[in-house]
Amino acid sequence: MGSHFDQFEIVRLIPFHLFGNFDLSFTNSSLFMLFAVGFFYFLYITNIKSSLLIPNRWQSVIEIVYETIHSTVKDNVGTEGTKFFAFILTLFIFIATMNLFGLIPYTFSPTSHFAVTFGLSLSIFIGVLIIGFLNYQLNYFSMFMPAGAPLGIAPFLVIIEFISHFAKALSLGLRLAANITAGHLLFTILSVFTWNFLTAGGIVALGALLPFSIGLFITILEIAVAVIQAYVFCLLTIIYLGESIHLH
Amino acid sequence: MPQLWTETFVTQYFWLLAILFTFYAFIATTVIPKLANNIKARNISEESKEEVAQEVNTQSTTELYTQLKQNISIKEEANTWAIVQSEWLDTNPEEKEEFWASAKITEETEDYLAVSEEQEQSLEDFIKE
Repeated sequence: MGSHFDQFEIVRLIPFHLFGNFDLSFTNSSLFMLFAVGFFYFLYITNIKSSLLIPNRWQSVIEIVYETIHSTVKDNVGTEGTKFFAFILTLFIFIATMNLFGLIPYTFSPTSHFAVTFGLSLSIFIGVLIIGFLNYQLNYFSMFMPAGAPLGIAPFLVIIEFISHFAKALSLGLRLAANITAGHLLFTILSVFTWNFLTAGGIVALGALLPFSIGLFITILEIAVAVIQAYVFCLLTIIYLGESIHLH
Repeated sequence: MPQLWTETFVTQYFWLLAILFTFYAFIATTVIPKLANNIKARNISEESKEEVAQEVNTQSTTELYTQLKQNISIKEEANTWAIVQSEWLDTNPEEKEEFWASAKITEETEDYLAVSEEQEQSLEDFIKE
């Protein structure tokens, strides 16, 4: 039997190296990212393009997502934040679709990979820094020194604030990857338990009912986690953007 | 843990950016304008519903009765028209199909336009006269 981590292995489907060094191979991770985007495009063609005044189910779902993200951006950043709305909506749909796709057996979840989530969070963090710097120039770094704090502890505060600020980039990506990985590992462990009970035969096979029913419950939980984690990722991105627009 | 492999970082990051930016362009230029128009149109119709509700609240009972009477007569006229129309269409099924296709409404609408037996009888009497 293979390892529980086999499901996370990257397989190069179309190997490609640029300048001999840069590995830009098309992998199973890239394929499932394309699947996620393709699935949404399919939804658009079949449900949204017709623009029904009385929406069908899928159009309703997309419109609820649209309105929720729009109000979250507006509440946290204000009207200045609406220019980032398209990006946040893209981010939510992209992450949520990839997370949900990963729940289908024998598929692959790109968001379980730290390279994807950290790459995303690092890019967002650099973007936020650039926006903050463009808005406030050197004053932007005043956030490392909270207003009203005693001067005596200023050096320590600056160090702590500096570390906590840069830890955001790490935690944003780590949170998503860790949650998705944990869910997938739980699925594997419960499936292996169920299979072992079933293959034991006789009365012991009835014991498979317990891990199987827990697995069913975990499936419902993981569907919720897939959407919640996508929302948390977007919400934190919005908050970081808000901080770079409205410096405290 | 394959999730922490550093040798696949470049390829995963490259494809992530390529796919995400393409998706962003699609969402920003095509999906958002479409959804925004839909939601705006629906909000306008919700607002007009509220306006009607407000009007009803401010009207007196006599005014409401008059309005209701008017609405009933409009509906009766519509039903009369529907019966005449459907009788005419029944004579030629091809024309009937063409009518429903050109009207861009489903045949379910027929149920909505249906009238009671009494109304149908009164209309027949009217035609005979």
